[in-house]
Amino acid sequence: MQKSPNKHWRTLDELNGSSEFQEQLSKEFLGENFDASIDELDGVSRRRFLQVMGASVALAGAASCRWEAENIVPLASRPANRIPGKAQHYSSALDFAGYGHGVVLTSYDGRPIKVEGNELDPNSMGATNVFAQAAILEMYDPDRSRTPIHAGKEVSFDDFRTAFGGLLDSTVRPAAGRGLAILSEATSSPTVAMLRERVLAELPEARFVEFEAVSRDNEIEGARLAFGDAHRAHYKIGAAKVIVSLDADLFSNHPAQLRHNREWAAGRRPVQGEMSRMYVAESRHTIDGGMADHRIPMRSGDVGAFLALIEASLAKDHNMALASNGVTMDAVPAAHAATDGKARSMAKAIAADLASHTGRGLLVAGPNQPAEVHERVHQINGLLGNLGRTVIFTNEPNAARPRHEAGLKALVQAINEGRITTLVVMGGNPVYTAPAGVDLAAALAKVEHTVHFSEYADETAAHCGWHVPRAHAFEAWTDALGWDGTHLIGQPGIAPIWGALSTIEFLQLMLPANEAKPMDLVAKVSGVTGKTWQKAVHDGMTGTKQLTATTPRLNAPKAFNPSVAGEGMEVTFAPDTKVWDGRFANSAWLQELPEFMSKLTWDNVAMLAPATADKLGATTGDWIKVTVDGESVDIPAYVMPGQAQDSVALAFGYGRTQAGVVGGNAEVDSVGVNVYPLRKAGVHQSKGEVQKGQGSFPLAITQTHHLMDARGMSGVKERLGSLIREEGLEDFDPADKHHFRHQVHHPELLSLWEERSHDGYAWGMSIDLNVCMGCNACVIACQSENNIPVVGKEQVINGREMHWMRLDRYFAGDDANDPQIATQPVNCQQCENAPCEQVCPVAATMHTDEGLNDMVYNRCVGTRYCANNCPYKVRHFNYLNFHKEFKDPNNEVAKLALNPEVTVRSRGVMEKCTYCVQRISEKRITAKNEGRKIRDGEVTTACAQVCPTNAIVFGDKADPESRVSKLHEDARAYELLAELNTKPRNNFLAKIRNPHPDLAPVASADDHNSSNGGH
Amino acid sequence: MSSPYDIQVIQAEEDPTFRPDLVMGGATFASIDDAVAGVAEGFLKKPSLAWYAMFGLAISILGMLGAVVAYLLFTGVGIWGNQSPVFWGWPIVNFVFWVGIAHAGTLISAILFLLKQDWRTGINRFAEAMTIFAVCCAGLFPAIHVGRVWLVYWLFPIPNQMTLWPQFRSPLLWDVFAVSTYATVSLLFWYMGLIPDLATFRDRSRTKLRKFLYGAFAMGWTGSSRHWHRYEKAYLILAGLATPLVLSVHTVVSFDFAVSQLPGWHTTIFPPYFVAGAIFSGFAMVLTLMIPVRSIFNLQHIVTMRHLEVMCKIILATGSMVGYAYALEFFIAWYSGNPYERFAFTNRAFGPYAWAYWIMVSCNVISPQLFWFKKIRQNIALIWIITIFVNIGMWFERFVITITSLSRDFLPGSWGYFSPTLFDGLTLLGSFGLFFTLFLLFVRFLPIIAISEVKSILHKQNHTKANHGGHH
Repeated sequence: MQKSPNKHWRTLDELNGSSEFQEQLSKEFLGENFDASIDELDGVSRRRFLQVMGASVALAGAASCRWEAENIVPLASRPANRIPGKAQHYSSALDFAGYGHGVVLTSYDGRPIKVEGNELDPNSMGATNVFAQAAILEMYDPDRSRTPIHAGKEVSFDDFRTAFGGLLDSTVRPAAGRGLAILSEATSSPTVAMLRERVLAELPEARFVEFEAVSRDNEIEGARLAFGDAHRAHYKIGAAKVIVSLDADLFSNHPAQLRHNREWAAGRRPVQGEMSRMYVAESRHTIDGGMADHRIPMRSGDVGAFLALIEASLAKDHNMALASNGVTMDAVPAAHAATDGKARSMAKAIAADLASHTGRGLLVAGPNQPAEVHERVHQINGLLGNLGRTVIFTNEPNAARPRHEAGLKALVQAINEGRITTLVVMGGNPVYTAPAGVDLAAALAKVEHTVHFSEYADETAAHCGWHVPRAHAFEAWTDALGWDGTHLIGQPGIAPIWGALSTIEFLQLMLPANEAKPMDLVAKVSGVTGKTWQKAVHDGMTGTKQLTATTPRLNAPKAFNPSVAGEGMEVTFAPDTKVWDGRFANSAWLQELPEFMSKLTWDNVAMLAPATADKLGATTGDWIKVTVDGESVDIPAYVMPGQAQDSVALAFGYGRTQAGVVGGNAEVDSVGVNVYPLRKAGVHQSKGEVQKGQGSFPLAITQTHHLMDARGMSGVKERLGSLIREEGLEDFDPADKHHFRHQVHHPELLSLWEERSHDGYAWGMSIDLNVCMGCNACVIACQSENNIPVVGKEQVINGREMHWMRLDRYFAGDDANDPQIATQPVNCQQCENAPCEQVCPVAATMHTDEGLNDMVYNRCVGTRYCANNCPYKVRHFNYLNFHKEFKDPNNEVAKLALNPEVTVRSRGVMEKCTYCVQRISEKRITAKNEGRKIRDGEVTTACAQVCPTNAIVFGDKADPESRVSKLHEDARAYELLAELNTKPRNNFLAKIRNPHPDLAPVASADDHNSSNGGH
Repeated sequence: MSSPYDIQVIQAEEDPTFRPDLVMGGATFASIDDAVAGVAEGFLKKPSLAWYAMFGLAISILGMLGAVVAYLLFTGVGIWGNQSPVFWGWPIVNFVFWVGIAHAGTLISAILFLLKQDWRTGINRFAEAMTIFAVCCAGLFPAIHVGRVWLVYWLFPIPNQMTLWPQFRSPLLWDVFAVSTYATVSLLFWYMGLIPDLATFRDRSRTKLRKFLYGAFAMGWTGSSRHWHRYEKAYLILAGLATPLVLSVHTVVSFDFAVSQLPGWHTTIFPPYFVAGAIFSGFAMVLTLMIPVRSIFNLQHIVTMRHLEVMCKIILATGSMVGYAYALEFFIAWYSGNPYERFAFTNRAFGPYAWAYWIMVSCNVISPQLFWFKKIRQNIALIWIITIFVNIGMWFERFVITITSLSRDFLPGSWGYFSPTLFDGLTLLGSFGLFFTLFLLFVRFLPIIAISEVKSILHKQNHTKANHGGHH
């Protein structure tokens, strides 16, 4: 066949007239190869099918020279169980920073478009966090590397295989692996562990090094100190009635966070049983602190002293002393003048609560706290009889490895000593994440052969001779272990879009003549076969746990002389809640996600307490210089009420230089500032200095607080009580049915219009403010489900962010340095008497029979009157074409992440939450076909499905037995701004705080009784 | 700046029983023809460089507006500062501003006509023309501020195959009807009044083309008594039709705000308050334009100091009403006990947009109060400056209403702060380009004073004088 004379080409292969392409053409026009072709079609595996489907959709866009002519070729015979346009669900697994999470992929026509939690996985219980939600966008990220790169040039996989095989044969194998080092990110995959053993058996002199910038090594060391051996602590949050979180971040920075969230929420429903009480001492805001009944902002360095206060009070006031305890409360040094008084009274209250709840209390220290604090926490938990009840243990897998940064340091030293000639970096981005003083980039230059194997050609790839694309977790067979050891099986949702190797395939390259299929290996390692294996793939897990329960015995307590942070400034580091250690820096969803407390998008900042900022003379947006041990970075300040005084909170993950077009690369400025150079190895808190810099920097913040004028602040204070209704547990009476509903007095409400009657379904939602943590999972889930565009930093500054679900964060109380916090999710309230509908001149927003307030996109002309008249401001307008990036042929692949069930809105059109009407329609069809009504719980919205605390419940209000109907009848239920007669279908459940009676009552309680939203 | 006629008026004021003539300088029918038609004819004889310079500037700005609108069509409403929660920004501010300006013309023509206020004859043509041009500017904004401009015709009840009608409960739809009716009636009214004068122009024309064009638009007017009879009937009917419109247009425009439930918008005082404000701004704009025109074209004997003074008094009256409305809004906000309403108003005066609020108050409430003083009412330079302040103030009034109310409504989590963009400024400037382009064309080609009506006054005036003289 001739090379096509047509200058329009569909694929690069066609352009090149490659032999492969010619061969494919001859197959397409069957001819003498007819039989062979049939065979090939007949034997097509699901994987191959997905590969072809995925590639054809992806490549359909490559021809962009003129109006595309796309050919739709029907399947000659439909694969079993496949109905075009009907979603399918496959379980899979994500191995995130060394801990597995079970997920379920929703897939349309062979392309996954949405991630949900796997309900069978005890660690996720059907929920996911923002990272898992955003993983789908990562998979379709056009910036992922597509071919191997050698010395800056794109080469083929065969080139790499040949070169790598040659390298192994010529130098590595003869030396039994001497000089070979494999620097890997943390992984829990049993198959990878097995292959690692086999590689080491083959090449005994090779060394494996594991490195994660954010690790839990302090916990492991603390357990070693306490028990003499590494044991992994598992917290039974549900069993704990008194929870003391010491800088712990149990709810957003813990591998079992989702289970923690769910169990904690179960203990916070005041109608059902005793409510737990939560105390939090922390330097920076975490979700724990936001949910605490009592939160004390204190420097991370002072937390040990706070623990000592608790211990001393237990000894003195409750006669529960550890053997080594001799410290009285007075002897514990004052941590920080600003908080000392509160710390002492709070420690007493905590001690009293813990002492009266032996076996039902829980003390937890966080990964930022040193091993000694962890040891002491175990000891006190032991003293209180909590071990084995609220804290249980398993063995710690791979406990023998050195601390992450120590391992990396040793590797760099070995390189500098010339002992490493071949270095394989397997996953991760250690050049970027390496701590201060570990110059991996310089070391890499000294290694003769370097290979980087990862999804992105990132900062590390730039310093390596080879870069090899790694398949995304959803493109490969994987397995992983959850935090509790649950053995998860991850099947691919799609074949590698660009062609890539999975970690399993890559490791096998180092083994001689070993070509086992990844699926077979995963199956073999799982230890199950046949039907059981099929069930394991279906469920996403084998049902066995790879960790064994242990009952460690406490050593004698060590002497505990907690140091205090002392004078001067403390600098603390933590992974970012949006981009983690930087691995999600190229995720536009996550970059544009308002940070849960600061509501900041597209940047990282140095968080300062208002008092600290005043001392510096800096305000939000001002450049400041943070210096630790002579290293310094310039970073914008953010004045954060509730941040500990004299403590600066920094977040990793920003200032990427090779992330991609979102996070920053050679052409695009970095998002945020890289703070890794400030962090010493393994230390999450250091002494530092802060100076005010020159000028200020525009920050894209979706909700301002501290910058607000006095008039605005008093306006917020005045109305907050009627927006977020709350009460202390003591005052709460579950029998008083309409207490919260009637908190705002208003005259009888009359409608101008004849009110609608509804028959059939009446969709409604309930949002429990008592357990909403503001974790943002719903925001990203909604974005993923509903094709919500990302608008970019500039447009966020212009106030044009598009998230249908907005989490309003409010501070209450008079002390800006120690406020109370509440979060209120606001999506469309689906008013029965919707103000938006009445003012639309073209009837583009209308009511359905089921009570949904529908938006008819193609009728909307964009007067925006509806949004003005919406008291909740949940309508979002496409001021510009926010989907413009899809026009770039390079970004065609990103279109695959779009949900085909949801219209992509054009510019000039209003949009808003639809209660996931596409999900309702799908289930309605199913139910109708089966001649029944939709069952309660059968259909749920994306936000409700993802919610780790089940704060959001969706269902049919017309069904009196549905969960949502019952919640609307709950004693805590109220409607937001009901006095406007909007009749919202959303109900909120009031927040019930559970303060310790000895401590100051809830500061904002007074506001509530006087509030009267609209007479 | 004061002409001898003005001085005459000022001096005559010593006697309270004295009313200066509405047409001065011993004008005759012929001299009025010469004075008014001379303005247009003067351009024909000797093109004025100043006019060309001004017209060049105005049409360049209009061209710039065209470019901005083209950019807007290709890019989207996002080129302006509109955002969430301030979904309506400057375009709507400008719309209401121009609609307000458009009120003076019909008020002078229709209501003052029915009330037989003879002094209106000197200024009504001019004010009506200004009305038409202001409505053009106003109409532009709602059309281009929608997200999908190409579908804006869906706001009209055009029968279609989908039997989809506009949503008649929406005040925006009422607006469409109100503004288009007002524009139509104003245009008809203006044109009706022009017919006798166009005939005068036709008769004085020296070139064929002008004769033909003026002749065509004069529709065969001969000045026969039958013509006059019909003309006056029709004029009276149109005046009757236009009178309710003066009140209705801005009432309906105010419904855009009042019918919604936003604190700061949802108040019953809006209709009268908007109408008063509209007349206030309309008269201010008439004065701003009239003062230079009468002195450039030597029309001080037709548009006399007495005219200016009367208009100043109207500005004083309506300005006081507006000030009263501002005060009453605050009272009602407090009296209602509605915390959102209270906050909306204290936030206006003391929140982040306090600067805009106080500009509004000083321009609209304080500056017209100066017209209590006769000295100021008779100082042309001061009148001109104050009317410009009033124009600025009235623009800010709409800014304050639209933007401060939207920026902070019910849920503090959705609050925002609006900042305009360069394109907001260019669009506003561009609308002035459109206005002045039309205005300069009007000055050049059409009778800027209603010749026939002034003549009728002259006749009456001379008649009264003759009678007086007889008795003494």
